[in-house]
Amino acid sequence: MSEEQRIHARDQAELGFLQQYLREYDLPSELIKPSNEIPIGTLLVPLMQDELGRDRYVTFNFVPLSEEEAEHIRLLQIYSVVPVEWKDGAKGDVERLLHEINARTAVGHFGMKPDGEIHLRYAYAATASSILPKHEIIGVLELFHMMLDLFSETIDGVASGRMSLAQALENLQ
Amino acid sequence: MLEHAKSASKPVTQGRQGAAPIAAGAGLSSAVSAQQLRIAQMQKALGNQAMSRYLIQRNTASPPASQTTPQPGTTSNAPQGAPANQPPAHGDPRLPEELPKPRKVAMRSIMGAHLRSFTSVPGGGAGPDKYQVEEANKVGEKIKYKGEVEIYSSIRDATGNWVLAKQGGQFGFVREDKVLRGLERARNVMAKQVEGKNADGKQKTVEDLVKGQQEEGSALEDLADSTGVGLEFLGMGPGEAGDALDNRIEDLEDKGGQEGKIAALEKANAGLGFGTYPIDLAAGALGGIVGMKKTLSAVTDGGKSADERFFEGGEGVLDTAKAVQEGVESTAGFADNIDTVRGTESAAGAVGDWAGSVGDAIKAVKSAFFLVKDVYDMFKKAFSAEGIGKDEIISGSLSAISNGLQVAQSAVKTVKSILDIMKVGASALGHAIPGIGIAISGIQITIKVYGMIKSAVSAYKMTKIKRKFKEDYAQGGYVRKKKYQVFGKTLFTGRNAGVDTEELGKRKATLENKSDDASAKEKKDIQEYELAREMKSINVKRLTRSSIQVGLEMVNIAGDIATLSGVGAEAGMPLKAVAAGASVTMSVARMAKQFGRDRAAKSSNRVLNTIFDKSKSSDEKKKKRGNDAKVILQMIADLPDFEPGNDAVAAQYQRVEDFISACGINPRELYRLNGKPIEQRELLMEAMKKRE
Repeated sequence: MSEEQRIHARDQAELGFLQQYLREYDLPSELIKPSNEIPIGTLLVPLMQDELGRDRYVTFNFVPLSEEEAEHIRLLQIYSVVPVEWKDGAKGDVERLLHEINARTAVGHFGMKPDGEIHLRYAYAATASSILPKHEIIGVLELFHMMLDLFSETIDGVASGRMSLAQALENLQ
Repeated sequence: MLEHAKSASKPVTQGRQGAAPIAAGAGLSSAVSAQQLRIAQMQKALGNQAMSRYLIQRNTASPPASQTTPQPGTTSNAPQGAPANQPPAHGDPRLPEELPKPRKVAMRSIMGAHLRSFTSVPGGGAGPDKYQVEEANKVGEKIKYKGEVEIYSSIRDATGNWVLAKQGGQFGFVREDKVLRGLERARNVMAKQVEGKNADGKQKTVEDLVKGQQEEGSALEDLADSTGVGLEFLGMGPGEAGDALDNRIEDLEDKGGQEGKIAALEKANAGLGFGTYPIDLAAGALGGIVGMKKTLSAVTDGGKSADERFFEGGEGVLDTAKAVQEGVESTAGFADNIDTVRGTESAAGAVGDWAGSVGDAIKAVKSAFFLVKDVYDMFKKAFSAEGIGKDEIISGSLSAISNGLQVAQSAVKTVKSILDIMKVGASALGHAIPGIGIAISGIQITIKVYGMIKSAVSAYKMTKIKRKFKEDYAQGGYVRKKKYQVFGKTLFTGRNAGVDTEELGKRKATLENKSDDASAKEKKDIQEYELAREMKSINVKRLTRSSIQVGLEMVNIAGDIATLSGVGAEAGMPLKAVAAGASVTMSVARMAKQFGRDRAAKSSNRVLNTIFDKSKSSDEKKKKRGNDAKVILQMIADLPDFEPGNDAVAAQYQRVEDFISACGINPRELYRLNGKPIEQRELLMEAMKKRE
């Protein structure tokens, strides 16, 4: 049994427990095994659609680090794409906005990929010496969700041109 | 218990009271309060059960007391609003008024089981009630294999092996190992041991169970003993012979692999409708050598009735096989041995040769037994009084029975030869290999049942059902059905096709009439999807030791399905959302690995080396192993209650077992130490050591 396989088995088991905890809070989720296309396991949690009826999800992945790279911690990445509508030329404004927002997030940060995908990302460092602690992780997820709710509308507003950057920055004060 | 911790009601493990709360006469007439004082005194003296009985008696003689709400200032924790002068709602005076929430489990023993009667010994004012099982007294109807029964996990007898159950409105006790599987029992034991608080008033954790290995060992062992859960299996059986046999069987097990065989097995099973077996057999704790031990203890257990010993022993012997079809396939090797035994002059020689192939022989017996037993179950259902007249259901069953019989035929043929051999060398063999006698009986039953079904079925085929049966079989539709139902009971518990199939069916119907390109493609896609669902269902059951294995075609099909309309959410997995997060995770990992490599390349830099030097002291290594072992125990403790039929829960059990295996530990070895968490931890640490 190789080290890699053991880590994968542990990731799957722990994501399974996370799924179980979420179920206790009536949150359905899908546990997706590693595949050729996506070589790590993922826990996919659907969230409520946003005000414009767009799908939202949170995904959980363990960062695949070997024991040498991270002996005492396990990194659980919590990730959610913020659905936005882009207006030409808005990228600069959004970048500025994200900087400001990131100074205010309780957990995680908002980022932007070159293709325009905007996401909220938080890497939760859990101890390797026990399984994921149920109440803490649910608490973190609640905070994460709160960040999404607090800031998504503003981000989409500036990206789509519905809101000016100045207005957005003022809202943040 | 975990479920109890969540509920808002009062903990059952602490003093239960059936009486109304007692007050020091606050606002009551003196007559009533004097009565209540007497009740309080009696309660202390007699305990709860007697209390309830007294109240029932008293109230049939006089009008009931009017008091129904608890008085302020009491310290009791009786249920609010429950009148003091009525028998417990569940009607059994031997049990406390408030029972924990029961849960449904399925009978795991092929032979089924009866509930047994019991007496209760009141615990007095403060202690919990104790229960004595009367094994000789059966209660109610026999619970058949896979029959449902409700159990109250936290109410056990003094030995801990029996648990309170309810069936057909009656209470009784059932052996825990008849209704719960190994991992689940491990989990229950663990949950029970972390129940309550430890000395400093904090909630117990798994840590507490394994803490202080050196000094406090005996104290924790006492705990394990006092909860009444010892080793899963009672004894080794008659001396050296038992040992030698065990070792042999272990060797056989270690050599045998499961991949590939499982695949073939599942294909056959999907067609026959025996889909639940692979999981039970391969993952259950009663496989291999452990099953053999069960046989030995059943044989030597004077306390059981002849009936029980026969069945349990037979089952125990048969439980040693790992997979149904594996047994049938392996008979080729056995046949050689049969001839050797036949030709041997001395019994000793025969025994010597025999011992080498006992594992194979037993596997073959088991395969036949299971097959025939299951066919028999279907047969019974189809041909029972309720069934006659329901033509379509019977025809469906007939085909499954036919298939089953065909497969069983070869197994039974093999088994017949085994029987011959066993009869020849019975006395000599019986001495060296305990349980052989019982195996012979198991074989005899198998052959009889097979013969009976065969004749009954051929007779029935002569009726007008025959025509319909041929129709069904020719179409082959039912063979591919995932949900195989007889009288509303699902025989083949694959993933529930349910609503999705309906929707899909409707969609297909709509597309039937269209002939444009888009519709044609969609039709084809749906076909592929259906095939993929079948494959997926099989894959889900697949016990794979190489953990990362999903066919590429599966993922592609899933991708296409995302664009189909009207198909269930399970298939429409939003790959894009998954890919978005996963890709970031992967690049983080890649970056970390690259950093590591760069660091290694710069190994001449002594400063970096000092900070990041990875040489670990043996103490640190030991501590790390201790933590890893703890993680496994935590996982087991954290598992939810096992619910038969709940795929999600079963999948999580599987994941935990996969992880245990991935750590190089044989899960069954672990389960054998149920109730002894310190030894379990030691076993885990040993296994971790091997990894380094």
